[in-house]
Amino acid sequence: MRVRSIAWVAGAALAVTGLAACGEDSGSSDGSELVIGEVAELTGAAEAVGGPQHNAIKLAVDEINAAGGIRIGDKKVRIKLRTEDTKSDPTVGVTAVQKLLTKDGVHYLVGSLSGAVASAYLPVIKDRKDIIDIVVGAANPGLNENISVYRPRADAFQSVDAEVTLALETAGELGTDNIAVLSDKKLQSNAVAVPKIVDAIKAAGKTVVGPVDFEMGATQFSSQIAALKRAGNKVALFQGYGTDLMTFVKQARAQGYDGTVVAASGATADQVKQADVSADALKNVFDIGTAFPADLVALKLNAEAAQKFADAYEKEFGAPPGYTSASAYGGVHILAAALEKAGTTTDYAKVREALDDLTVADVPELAEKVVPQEGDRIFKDHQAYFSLVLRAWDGAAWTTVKAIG
Amino acid sequence: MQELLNGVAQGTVYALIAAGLVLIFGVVRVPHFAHGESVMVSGMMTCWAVTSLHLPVLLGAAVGVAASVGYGLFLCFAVYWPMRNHPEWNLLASSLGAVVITQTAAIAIWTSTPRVTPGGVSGSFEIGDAIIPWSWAVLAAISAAVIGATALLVSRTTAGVSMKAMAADAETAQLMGIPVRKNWAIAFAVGSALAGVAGSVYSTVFPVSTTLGLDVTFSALVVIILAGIGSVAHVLWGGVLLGVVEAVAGTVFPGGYQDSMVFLFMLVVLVARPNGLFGLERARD
Amino acid sequence: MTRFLPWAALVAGLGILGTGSPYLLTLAATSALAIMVAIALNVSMGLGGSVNLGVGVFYGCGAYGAALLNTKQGYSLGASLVVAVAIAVVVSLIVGPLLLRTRSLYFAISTLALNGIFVDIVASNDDLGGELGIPGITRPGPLPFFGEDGDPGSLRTMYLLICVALVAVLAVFAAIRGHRVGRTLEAIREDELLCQSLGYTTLGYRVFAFTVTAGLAAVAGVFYAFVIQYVNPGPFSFLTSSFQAFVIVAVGGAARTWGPILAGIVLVAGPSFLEFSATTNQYVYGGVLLAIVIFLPGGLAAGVDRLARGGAATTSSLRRTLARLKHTRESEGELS
Repeated sequence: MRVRSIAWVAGAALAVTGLAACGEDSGSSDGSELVIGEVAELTGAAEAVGGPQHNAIKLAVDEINAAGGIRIGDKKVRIKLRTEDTKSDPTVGVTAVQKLLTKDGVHYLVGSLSGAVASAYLPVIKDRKDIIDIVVGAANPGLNENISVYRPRADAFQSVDAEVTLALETAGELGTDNIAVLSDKKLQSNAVAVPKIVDAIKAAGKTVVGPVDFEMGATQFSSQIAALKRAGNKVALFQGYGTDLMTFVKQARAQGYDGTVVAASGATADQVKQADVSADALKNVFDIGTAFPADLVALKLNAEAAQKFADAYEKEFGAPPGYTSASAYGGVHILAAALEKAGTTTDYAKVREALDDLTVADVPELAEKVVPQEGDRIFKDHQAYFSLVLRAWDGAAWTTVKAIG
Repeated sequence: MQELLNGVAQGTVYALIAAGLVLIFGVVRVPHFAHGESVMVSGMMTCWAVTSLHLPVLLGAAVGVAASVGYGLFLCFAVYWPMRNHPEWNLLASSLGAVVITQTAAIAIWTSTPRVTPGGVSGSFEIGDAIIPWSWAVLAAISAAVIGATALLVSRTTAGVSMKAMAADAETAQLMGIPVRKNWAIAFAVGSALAGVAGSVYSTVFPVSTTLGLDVTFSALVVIILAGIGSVAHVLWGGVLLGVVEAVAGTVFPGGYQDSMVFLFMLVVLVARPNGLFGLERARD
Repeated sequence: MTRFLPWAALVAGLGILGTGSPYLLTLAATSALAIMVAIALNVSMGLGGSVNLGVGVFYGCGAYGAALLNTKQGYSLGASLVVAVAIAVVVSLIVGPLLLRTRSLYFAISTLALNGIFVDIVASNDDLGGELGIPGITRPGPLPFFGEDGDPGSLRTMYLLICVALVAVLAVFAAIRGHRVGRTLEAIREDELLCQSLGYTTLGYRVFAFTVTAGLAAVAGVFYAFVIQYVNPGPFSFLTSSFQAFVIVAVGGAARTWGPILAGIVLVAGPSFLEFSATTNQYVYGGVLLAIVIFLPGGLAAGVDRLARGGAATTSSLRRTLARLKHTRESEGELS
């Protein structure tokens, strides 16, 4: 009995001391290196988009370091990126952020894709004046209302007007009165965007079918398709990821639904190919969203930087950039530009001021088309706005139909 | 009408997967939570064989089924067999561990983008005002046929009968000289083969992704619960019932509570008949 | 005297951690919550033998109850604790007797289904926050001895309160295990029919275990809401909470008082110190889990026991007693 108990105590003491020792070594910085923390969704539900987002952040950091680092005053500071995986789980996310802040002594955060994870760690950072969090993925509105959060990424509201306008136009042309709204109920951003869409459609005097919910990763859309067909629907708005759009369109066409689909999904050519969807099925399917590099090249907007980013990304990772990659890449360069402009890495108020005043011309690397705010600034109330484009499938690629706004 | 037929088509696939799980459950006595991973492995391998090796769909399906059987046998002898005398939650936990590792490896290899195997049957036909894709009819027909064949196999062959004996009373069966190890191998091989057929055929109709395993296992478990443990043939009715309930729930409660309705239906069935709708024997403790 | 040593070690360990950085506090607090849920599950699964795969429901009842009470009604931590745990207990008393009509696999799957329904309800109902969840839960102020600004954000206070809750939950478990009720539960787990023949109302005991599990899990849930200050459906799904609790119990050693603590340290807190890639971490988690359940059938607790005893296998006197009893009853013709 005694031996056993001593073993218990010894084991416990060893474990605790080990834990405490591991947890305390604070990241040292000697001034020639700036540690930036990345909150990443590398595993779990958001992994598919989180992976390419992480890649783009890494790419931007590598580029900056290859050029010698960020110029602060008269010396160059290299970036050390510390990435923490949240497993797309809010609880793990809070621990990850605390680890970055405490153990690595980080004051600058980039990343965040999952809205739930961002909402969970928000209480930790939101009132901290010594922390700047560049959110490049999570789209839930309101995040940018906190002093520490900047978002160089479209929030869920930005494409709503364009989607509704297109849907109403199409409905007008087809002479139909009802517009369906399909919504991925697992996406936090839909919880705020969808009611807005529904209100806008109703305000235009049309009736709304739904919102018809589905869950990301669904293999069957039969009941949703049946609901659209029962309502005699001809125009549907699709609020969800590209992979789900492909599944829906393929099955809808096979089951005799031939309506126009307006989506905000960021669908890629790879997703079309993997889901084996025919060009015929994708007729009358339109995708609205922030411009991808390929769109910018086609529209000759910011084409050079966009092409450069897309090429570098493809060369490094062997695949085209993902849904949030360009925003992630831009986010790191925005932070670097602000630090250079502020001329300091430790005066956080000054860095915030630099971010507020940063103009589009200050960040030539931006691989997206930012809509300049007052005074050519990137941010308005910590939120950036982006040119949207309308895309359609031409049998081999998503091609740009036109720019919106 | 449309919804009912959709439900039947989907339900037969659930039944096929569940039939495999019933066989394995008969020997291991715990839910083989990695069964859905067999379905996933087969679907992914089929798709890979067709798109990368440019094999015809039937050969691709053979590759998928072979991979699934290999995977099942590997788990059987590397994980479950060494643990055969352990408490049941150890086996359950080990199957969950296998799920974690398999899924992580699959995502590393194939990413998590859903994919459909090209070259499946195209076109559709109409029954009343319902439009049924031919591919669905093929899917349902193959599933039902394979379940039927398996049921015959279990009731007509010596191996099948001895497996049933094991499922009924493992200890006595062993005392009577039934080859336990061989039966484990047969159960995992045939059970995983059924999952393999389901995965490969399913991948030609619906998107499969590296993350679908656990969902598939849950559906199969619900089918088994509805049908009652023990009979391969009853599983077909359990599967169709689940498919139809799912479809009806999807119509009555668009989106939202669809999963809950299926679960609720299952719970009501269980409370009313704690051993399943067709369950004859008392569920073992 | 020596039986208090592990408790002293636990308290000392928690104390040492309590002086750590916000990161260590957060990690220790969230790990302690996962361990509390597992200890709760250990009552019905370990002692009672019912594999409950829906403990996330009651963890969630506690968290959602506390979140709603605090943000809508302004309840304090203490008041939320009482009300939210009462809600979970009432829910478990309603569903328990219904679900417990089923056994083994059927029971496991019904509880899994219950978890699915719970997540669907909170995710689809805007009054319960929907997918957006409930933000803005206010932590209690710092404990008096921290002084005015000794504990910014009350993180250390929350940590200490969670430690108290952890020790209390563990003590409840140990008390039940050592009590006649616990031994009866273990006997029911081994042979329910025999216990019935001896005159025990076995359903009552199983409902009791189910309810204790629910109540203790809800305690963990209430603290979750106050330490994270945000609840959403994800953390209470089968995959995140019930799965994890089940694995912790199995790896730690079912029915063992210290099992969940050991397994929690290895499986929940441990991986945070591995500087591997995210994918490698998953392999390690799965691999460690498999290795332990394959090579240590009694879990980590049994492994530590064996180490301390120099390799001697443990024997169960309970099983021997039951076998003897069964033999007597059978020869008396009471059991058929």
